[in-house]
Amino acid sequence: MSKANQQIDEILDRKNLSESQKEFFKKMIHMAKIYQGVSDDSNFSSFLENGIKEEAKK
Amino acid sequence: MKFLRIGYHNYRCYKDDIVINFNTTDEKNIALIMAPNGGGKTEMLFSFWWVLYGFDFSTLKEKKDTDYSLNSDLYHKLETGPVDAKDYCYVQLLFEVDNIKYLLQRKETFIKKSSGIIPEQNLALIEYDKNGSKKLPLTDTTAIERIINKAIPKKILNGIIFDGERMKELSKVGNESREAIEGVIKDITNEELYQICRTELDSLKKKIAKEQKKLANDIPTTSLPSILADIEECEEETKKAKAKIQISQGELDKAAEDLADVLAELKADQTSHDNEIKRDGLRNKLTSENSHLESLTKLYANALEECYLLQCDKLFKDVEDLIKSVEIPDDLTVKTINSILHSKTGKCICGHDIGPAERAALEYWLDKLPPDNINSTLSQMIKSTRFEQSKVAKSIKDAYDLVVTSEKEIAETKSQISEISARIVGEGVTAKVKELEEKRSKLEIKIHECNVTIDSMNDTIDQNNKRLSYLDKQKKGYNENNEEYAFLNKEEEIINSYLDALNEIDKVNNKRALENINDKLDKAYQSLSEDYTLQKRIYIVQFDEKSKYRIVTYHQSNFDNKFNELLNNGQIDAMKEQGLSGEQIKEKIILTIKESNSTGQSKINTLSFAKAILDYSNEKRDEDSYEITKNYPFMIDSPFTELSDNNLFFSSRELHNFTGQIILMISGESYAGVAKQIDPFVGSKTVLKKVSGESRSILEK
Repeated sequence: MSKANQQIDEILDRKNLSESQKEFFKKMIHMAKIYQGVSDDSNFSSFLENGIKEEAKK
Repeated sequence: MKFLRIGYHNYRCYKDDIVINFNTTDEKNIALIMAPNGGGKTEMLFSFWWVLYGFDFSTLKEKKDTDYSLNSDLYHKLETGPVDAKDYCYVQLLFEVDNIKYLLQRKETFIKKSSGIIPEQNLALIEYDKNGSKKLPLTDTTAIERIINKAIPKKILNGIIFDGERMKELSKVGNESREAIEGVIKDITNEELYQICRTELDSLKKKIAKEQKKLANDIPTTSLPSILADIEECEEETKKAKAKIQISQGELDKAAEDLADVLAELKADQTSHDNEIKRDGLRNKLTSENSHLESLTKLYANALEECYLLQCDKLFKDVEDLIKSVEIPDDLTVKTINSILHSKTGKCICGHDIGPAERAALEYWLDKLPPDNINSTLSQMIKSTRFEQSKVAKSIKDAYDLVVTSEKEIAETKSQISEISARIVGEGVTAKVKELEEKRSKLEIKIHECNVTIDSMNDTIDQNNKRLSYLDKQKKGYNENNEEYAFLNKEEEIINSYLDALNEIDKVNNKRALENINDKLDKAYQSLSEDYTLQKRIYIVQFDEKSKYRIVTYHQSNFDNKFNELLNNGQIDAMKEQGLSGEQIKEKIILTIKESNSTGQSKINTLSFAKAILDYSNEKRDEDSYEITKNYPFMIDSPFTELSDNNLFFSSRELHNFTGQIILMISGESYAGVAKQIDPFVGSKTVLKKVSGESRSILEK
């Protein structure tokens, strides 16, 4: 694992988040990378909104 | 990223249509542009800046009078031409990013109006697909800038485009290196990625807040809407306070930088200023010494008035001689002669008869003899006068010595004044220092005001946070009563945690990147500077807020000495107890022993800095890392002037190692000195020459 990702994990561990919330955070960044540079990022918005809703339900 | 071609039409000194190809490869990665002084090297360097982002030509020291992109001959023609006359110029840049080619054109049209010449700019970008076919040109400036910013962010231009002036100044001037480092870090650590998340999370949070508000109005209670309104108000206030802090911080940074400049200027003038003060003091001393001499001279004159006594000496001697020459027995006085002459016995006291001859002799002596006791009176007088004489002589000598000493002191003071005057650079330096002191005082007040604002805004934020936490608790109290409401709160909680995490990620990314750049800077300096072997080291400030991102140099031996001194007096332990890390302690020590640099050394520092950030950008990242590897080109004008010996050799030898493509602008004369090192890596060579009698440069065939 890269040092950068290791540091992200350490930060998330301190944030009192559930494992699934931590995973979704990482997924969020991964998806942001996919949508990076795409002028219409509405898909990213809905991905985030739905994901947060799912996490809140758990 | 690679530049493939640049073309000009009526742009600055490139009045003719000129096209320059940069045929560089991985092995031969240097594109050489050779031109004499005034042949268009710097113009070409900044034309890259202009075509990418626009450029303020008035910031170039020597080019303030021609702060427009159009060729100056054409511009002057327009000035004297009729209203509505127009002309234009453009620069076209062909570049390649990730195997996709783009042709960027920035065109500026100048129209003569009655109010003056009005410029109008427009941008166009053509993308070529992988087969080399053109796509439809983009003309939307925002969309074009987005693409350019991805390829080569504006902020990093300060780290990859250098003319001679900026090479000398970069390590002294904070802003440009700061902007370059910040820009590179943000670009490479992919800060945009986290920013996208932050923006989306923020807008989602607003959406949830709206839903909460709507829902609160439906819940049969009066206090929840007001709690939410309070929360909204609190958050708004915090936002405003943060914005104010940002503005004040910007002003504070600017004032701190201006203050550093003023202090540097003051320091330079301070020596002259101090000398002026010293000279004023010496002039006052001279005045008092002169008046002292005057009084001493009076004393001397008074002493001389007694000098007649010394002249009596000869007279007294004459009298003594005369007394001796008369040969009258010492004991023969008027009284004795009279008693002999009137003796009743007619005899002398010795019993000798006194005849007529003796009587005549006695009468003769009687006539010649001075009154009784005159000899002893005279002797007495001479004796006491001689005593007076020695006193007078001593007092005259003393008075004279004092005058001589005083004159010597005056001469010494005068020489000091003239010596100190020679050290005072320029007249009126005191007035300048006064002006600088006033500036300093104003800046210090400004800094104080900014700090007060920042402190007060921080207080507001603290208070708001406390209030928010209280309001949040109240708000959560409604969770139990309303499931839908509790759900929204949970969503908000997750978003807040994510936002906190994103802010922390920014901080650790910045710290890790700076550590990495510092490592690379040390290696670059080792390969470029002859001073490295003399223990000189270079460092980019990481922690100190005031001088963060500044480039400083120091000697390792000074560092070791200072470290040992602090270790022995317990200050290292004290700093550790305060919670400072080893790196922070190291930085604190470096800042106390930092040194100044010569022009040549400053250029080497800048080259090391550029190499460090290029190395950092080019570094291969782990596959799972969100960081990006970027291969920026490097453009540099006249890097080798003012370098000598090993600094010249090392920097020319290492230049091809800087990055994938280097565009080197250089004069023929300067190139001759480094050709041996550079030539093997030259992929393309362009020679420019000046045209006599015109503001124009052309390609040499």
